[in-house]
Amino acid sequence: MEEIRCTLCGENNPVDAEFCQFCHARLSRLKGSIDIQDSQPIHPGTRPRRRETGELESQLPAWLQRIRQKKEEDELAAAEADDSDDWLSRIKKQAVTEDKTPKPSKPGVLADAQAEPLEEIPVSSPEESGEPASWLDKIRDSVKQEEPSQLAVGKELAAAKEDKPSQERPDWLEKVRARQKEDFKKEPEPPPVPQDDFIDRVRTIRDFGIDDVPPTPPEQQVPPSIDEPLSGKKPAEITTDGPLPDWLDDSQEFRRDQIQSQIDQIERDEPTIETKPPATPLAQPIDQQTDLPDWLKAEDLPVRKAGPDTEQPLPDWLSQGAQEAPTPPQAAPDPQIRDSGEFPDWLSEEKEDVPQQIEPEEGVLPDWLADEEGAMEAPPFTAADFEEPGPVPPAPPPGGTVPDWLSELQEKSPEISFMGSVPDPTPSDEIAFESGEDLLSPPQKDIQEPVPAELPDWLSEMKAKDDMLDIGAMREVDDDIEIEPAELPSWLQAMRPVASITPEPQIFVDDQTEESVGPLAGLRGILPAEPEIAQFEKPPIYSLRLNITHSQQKNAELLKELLESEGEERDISKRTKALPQRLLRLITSIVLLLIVSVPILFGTERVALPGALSADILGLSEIVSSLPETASVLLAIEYEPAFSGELDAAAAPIVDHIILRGAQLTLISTSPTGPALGERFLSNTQGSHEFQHGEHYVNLGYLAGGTVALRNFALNPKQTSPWTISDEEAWDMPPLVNINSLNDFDLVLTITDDPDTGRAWIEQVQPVLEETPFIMVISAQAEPLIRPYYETTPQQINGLLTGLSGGAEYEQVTGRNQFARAYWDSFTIGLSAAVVLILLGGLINGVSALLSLRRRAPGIKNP
Amino acid sequence: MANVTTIDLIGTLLGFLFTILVFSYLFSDNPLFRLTLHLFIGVAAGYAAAVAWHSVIKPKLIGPLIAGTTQERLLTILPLLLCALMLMKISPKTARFGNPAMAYLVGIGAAAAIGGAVFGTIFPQVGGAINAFDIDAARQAGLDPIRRLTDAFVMLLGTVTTLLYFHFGTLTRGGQRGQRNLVINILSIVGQVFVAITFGAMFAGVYTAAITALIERLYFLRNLLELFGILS
Repeated sequence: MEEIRCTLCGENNPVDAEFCQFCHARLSRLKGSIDIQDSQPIHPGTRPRRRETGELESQLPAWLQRIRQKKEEDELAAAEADDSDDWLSRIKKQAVTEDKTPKPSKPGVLADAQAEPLEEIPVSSPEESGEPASWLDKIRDSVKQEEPSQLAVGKELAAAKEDKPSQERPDWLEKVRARQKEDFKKEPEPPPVPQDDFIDRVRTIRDFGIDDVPPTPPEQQVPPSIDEPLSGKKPAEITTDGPLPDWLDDSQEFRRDQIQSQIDQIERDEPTIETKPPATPLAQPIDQQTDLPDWLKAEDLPVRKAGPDTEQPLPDWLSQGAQEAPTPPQAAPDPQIRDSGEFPDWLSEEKEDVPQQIEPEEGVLPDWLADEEGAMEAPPFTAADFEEPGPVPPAPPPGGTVPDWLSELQEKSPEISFMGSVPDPTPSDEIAFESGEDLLSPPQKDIQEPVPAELPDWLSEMKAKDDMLDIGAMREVDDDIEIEPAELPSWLQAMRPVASITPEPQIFVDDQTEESVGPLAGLRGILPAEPEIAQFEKPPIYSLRLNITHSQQKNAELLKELLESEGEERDISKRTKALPQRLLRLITSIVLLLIVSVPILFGTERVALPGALSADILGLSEIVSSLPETASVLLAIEYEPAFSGELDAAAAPIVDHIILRGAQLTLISTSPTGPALGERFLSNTQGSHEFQHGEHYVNLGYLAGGTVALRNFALNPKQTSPWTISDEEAWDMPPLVNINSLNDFDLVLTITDDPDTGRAWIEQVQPVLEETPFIMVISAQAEPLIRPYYETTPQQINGLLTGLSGGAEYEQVTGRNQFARAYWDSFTIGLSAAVVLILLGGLINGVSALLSLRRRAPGIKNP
Repeated sequence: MANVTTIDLIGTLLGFLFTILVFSYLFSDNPLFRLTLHLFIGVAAGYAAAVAWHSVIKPKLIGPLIAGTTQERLLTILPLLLCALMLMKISPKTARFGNPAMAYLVGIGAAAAIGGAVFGTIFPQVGGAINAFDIDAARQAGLDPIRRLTDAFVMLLGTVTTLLYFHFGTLTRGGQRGQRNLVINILSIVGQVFVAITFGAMFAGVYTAAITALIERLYFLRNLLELFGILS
């Protein structure tokens, strides 16, 4: 469902809603929407298209066109009826004709600026403008309330009086006055919309920073007599011919007295006036109001340049501002005009009545026109500056000849209008000129009618919030009067918020903060006036303390101590060495060598073998003794060459016993050196038996695979080791003829020096064995780890023989002295020497430690 | 001397020489000792390679491929492939291709080792420690029940206290540093005594084995001297 988003409050409303349901602001444009660039949306960055005001003529409000048409008809009718040589009528006629003609390229403000020098000629009269005589009376009434700054008016009147050529009023003036009276009677009341439109303009100006305009009190409001000509009547112009009427004489008398009193007051308060700023910002020159955009300043300059010679419609507030502000001087007559004596008499009389001290010197421009100091006395920017310039009278004066000064001004008008008054237009200014739109000074073609709907909608939206109370009235006006849509200037199209007119789906911005101050008050979603980085906020304070428990803190401290202790140097106490380590090691070695070598060198066997056999040896000998004849014994050689001396001496008695029992041996090893050691063992220890390979024993060689190979061999020995060490079929040899599995062996004997290897045999092979005894001959270093398998119940090892001592015992069983007996003396002496050395070393260390403790003990003096 | 062959004589002389060089380590580490050490390592590696070729590769891999039946040849494909993958471990770039073979070996080895340890060591040893208090069994075996019971108690005490010695767990109270329980601490000290006795027994075994090897070498030298007539 399509919705229209209110640009004022940001709420969404139905498409057909004309006013916002929430803030009652107008959602859609006035009837007859603006034809903007063929309804193409305006995107940011799009360069505005130039427009000519001639195109806009057809889009003027109907009521304005009717008024214009009626005005033109009346003027033409009056001109034809009178058919006089009134040069002013011709000027008006020509002006009307020019208004009809669309301006080709430099319309609007540019045209106004070109005509401004001509507007400075104060030649219009009240009679010509149709202003009734009471108009000036009302001015007098208002003059009574004027500030002392209205001294300029007195100057003007005095100058006009001096230049008045005659006291009689010309005929043409009488006719014009009569016609103006009739027109005034027939002129309908102007619609209130123009006034509201002017109010919108002024409020817009106030929104742009001139918001100090005080509300107009009722007593200071411009009387209706002034509003009437403002609403559509041509301003009264002062004629230079004819006698001054009575009412004007009376007013001149009264005014002269009042001005004189005001001049005196000004002279007394002159220092204060010079330093005192203008009463209202409206009285300030626009170029000094920095809040105004450049384009507005640029367009104001020619307006200010145009003299206040014609009375234009003034709203109430503006009238008040004009009363409060110093009244600008009336367009001073050009010296040439003054010299030529073409001013009316009544104006000359006014000049004569002005006191002499304020009368300008002859032939010299007035002070207020000559320099800026004159502007101090008479501020140049008054309510008259906001008036629309009157029609330019290019026609010659009634005399049929154009004055020289007027001709010169006409010739110089283009240059004069811009030089010194309008700065070099910027592109935006140029576009503004081309668009023919001027917010403060309506085009010249609209001077006789209030300009309605000249204010763009976006400006109306800006002030919509302030005009909430006026919306009802505006609605009534819209219902009564169908306002023609105004053509939006191209430069204004570029400035207009795109989202407000684009038909595309709107992208809503989250930031819809409403601006509260400044000229953009009431708008939402505008860019911030200052970057966010400038919006300083106090940074949050974070605690640096870690949220940890006490134990965590202690652990952290402990870790810190550990890390710090690693980097610290520690005092290494020097050990007092009785002898160098190398010498001690040498002495120990030599002592042992000598002790061990002596029995060997001398071949002594004085140390007796163990007398009583241990239960282990007895049980082992029983196992071997229980072997059947021609038994098959699996002999595993699982030791390294370094331990061959010990294990050969340990295993030789039991193997000798086995061989004596007539058993056949099958050698196998999981060590690469095992097969060779087995052959060496048999040859060195059992050489007396004359064992033959293949007949008495079989060497299956190396069993690769370690523990896994052992398990495989225990389960399937034939497939695991099918060949002998000499690549022969092992299982066809006599020792293995009847062997199909490991349980077919009568005894399994493992000789090992490594507890891990012995455990592997226990773990992988022993569980497979059922009735076959499993005995082991181990090195003395493996006994602590292998003996538990022998001591446990049930035994995992049926018999255990350990080291040289075990071999020596077993030799006693067989009665065959072999290696054990030969080694026994040296072995016994060597063990005894080791015990002595250990005890001696311990004693020395104990004494040295005791001595060191006594030295360190307090109170004990060192010797 | 007449029965000694030349090879045996050379071998015996080399043995004598290298034995003296090894003994030179008593004075200090010297190049002769290191030369001997490297020589032994090299000979052992060469011998192991020769054994592997003659005992494993040739009869179990090359032999079936060359002279085996079709079934034997097919059975050798998988070991050959695994061997090829294992050889890729030589280069770091192709080492990852040897991972399957290595995984196969490690997996099989771990399974066998764990199974053997559980069913060959842990369960039997736990049962043995429990059965040590079986007095009837000791009587039937002809052992003194009191002694058997005493041995069982000492063995149990040694086992428990040794295990407690390796228990380093502590309790933390009130943010104080953890301290071992007093009972556990005392028992761990007893276990420490058993551990020390065990290490002493192991040291004695090592020393016994070493002194026996020394005696064997000294006997070798003496026999050689007798061989050459130096000693009578």
